[in-house]
Amino acid sequence: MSTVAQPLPRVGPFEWALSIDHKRVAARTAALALVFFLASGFLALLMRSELAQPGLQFVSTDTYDQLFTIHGSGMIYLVVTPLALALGLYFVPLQVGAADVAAPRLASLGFWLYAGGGFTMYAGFMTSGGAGKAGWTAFYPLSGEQASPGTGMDMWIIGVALAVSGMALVAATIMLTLLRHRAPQMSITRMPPFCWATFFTCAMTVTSFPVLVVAMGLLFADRHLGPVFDTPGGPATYQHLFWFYGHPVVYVMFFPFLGVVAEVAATFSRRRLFGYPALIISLFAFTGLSMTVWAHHMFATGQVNNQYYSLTSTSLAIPAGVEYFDVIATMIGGAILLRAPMLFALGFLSLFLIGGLTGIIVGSPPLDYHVHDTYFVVAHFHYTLFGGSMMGAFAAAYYWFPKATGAMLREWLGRVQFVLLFVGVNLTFFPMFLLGYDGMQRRVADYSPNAGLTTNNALATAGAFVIAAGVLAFVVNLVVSLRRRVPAGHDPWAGQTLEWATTSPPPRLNFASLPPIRSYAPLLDLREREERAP
Amino acid sequence: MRRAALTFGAWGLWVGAWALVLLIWGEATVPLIAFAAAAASAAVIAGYLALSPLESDPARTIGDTSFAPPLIGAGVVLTCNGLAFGLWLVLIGAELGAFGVGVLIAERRRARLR
Repeated sequence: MSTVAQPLPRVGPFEWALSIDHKRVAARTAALALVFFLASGFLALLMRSELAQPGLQFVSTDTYDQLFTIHGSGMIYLVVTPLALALGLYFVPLQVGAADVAAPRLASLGFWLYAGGGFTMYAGFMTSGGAGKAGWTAFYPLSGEQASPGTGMDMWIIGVALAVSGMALVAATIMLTLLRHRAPQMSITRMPPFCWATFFTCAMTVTSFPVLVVAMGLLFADRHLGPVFDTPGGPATYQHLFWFYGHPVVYVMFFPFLGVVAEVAATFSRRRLFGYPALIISLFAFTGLSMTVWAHHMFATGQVNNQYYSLTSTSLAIPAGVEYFDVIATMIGGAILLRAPMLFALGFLSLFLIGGLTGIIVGSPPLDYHVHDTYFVVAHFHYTLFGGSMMGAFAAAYYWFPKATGAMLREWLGRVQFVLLFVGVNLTFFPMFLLGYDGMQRRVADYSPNAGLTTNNALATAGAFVIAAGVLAFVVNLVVSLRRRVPAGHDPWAGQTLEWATTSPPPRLNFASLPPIRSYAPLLDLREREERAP
Repeated sequence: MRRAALTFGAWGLWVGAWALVLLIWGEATVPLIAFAAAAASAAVIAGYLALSPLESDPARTIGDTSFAPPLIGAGVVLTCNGLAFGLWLVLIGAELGAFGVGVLIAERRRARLR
């Protein structure tokens, strides 16, 4: 049908580290993100162990501040965003029929900046004052020199700026590839849903990420050169700069996984994606709106136009609804195959829905005043980021692992992992809604034994360990599947898009030849034509 | 390329329209500047796309590995960390970064000669 090219030869670790092949840069990024995921997850277990019962058992309040800061920062700057972009870096060129990314050295530089930033941030633990402790948002004046003195906070600022710059470079290369290196027949209106989702992700990344780098530069200057934000309106200005990055990044961590889920749903329902044009238009509307909602995080400051930001935030429900409708309509009437990628895709749809619907609550100022800075908000964004994005990431892992390695992940371990994660996420984060509604503040190491918060905290802690067991199942699956390889073949899922037309793993320049491209799903077109042929 | 330019142009207009709504509603300067910058950057990308042709993948002239990105990356990381740890680290980082740029130039020259 398309290619007889030889897969990538195995190379040593030195050559692997220096490679500028987009697939190896992406694999390096994903592998490092997994390391940071395990590290940041371990910090979460420490926090949940501390909160299992009232009183201080394991850590001091100062250490707890460092734990939640590096846990949140690690997960957002070093895990979910890089994972989302690593998927794009690996699969976008394959899906659009390109031989490589537009600027391979730039993508590799992006990886090294990200790695340097991540290690800088974590190295703060080795300084005498400890790591950064002003939360993942580092609001001013809490992040100023007086409230957070010490080198650890400086290293946090430098680490964030480096990691975010690195990811902006990676996004720029993906976007250039999408715009300038598509195969001749691959017009922009024939790009697969994942490519469109990544396209909008990159558009948000290159627009909003530089603003955070500027904010970090100004914060560093404020700490060492003199007042920048220590002025009337200064702290609010910092928040504007931060959230101009901080809200679009939520969709940077959502769109690629939505794209994955749309493709997984179509592949495992044995159907063409329902409403392809509507999905793309809704992604477009979503992207524009996502740039306009950032100050809903600032309702409680009293310094923003609450009506405007509430209107834009609530409007997000419309494109989100269209996207859900398209994916669910794809499954209706399809011959659904409940393999591990599909299970995680269904997990994504159900858990992200809870996160999305509670987002409407925190997008309404009167309700937000009640739950602001409580565990309700923690539950909301963990349903979106863990229940949503990480479920999507695992769907992508099970779906594309055979393509990237030539070996299948163990199905039964995938099912065990799915059950553990689904139960664990709900057991951990649902009680947090109740805790927040009852007034438990976030970012606290202790709570009163008489406040009626103990049971729900104990449940959340138990759930965190169930999640850890699920993650352990994934790590075991990776190790077992790579050591005792079950060959995957070129197209184990009967895929629809171009990446399944080449070898597993793909060769250095991806394709020897391409099939005809007449829609976003060239392989499905071919199969349908073969079925129709007499 | 025109459809891609259209996408970005429309996105710029969409963000610009929301900026206009915010302006009518009466808002502080920072959000408006951020909005306007986002709309303008989308317009610039749209203009670039409208004017530049689609490139087919050229014959590959660069190698499979490169020392330049890790060297430049390490240089930037050490220089930035030097802001917290002192001038000595800034200088080491700058040297490493400059060496990386030199390697990049050499790699590009070698590729051109190939």
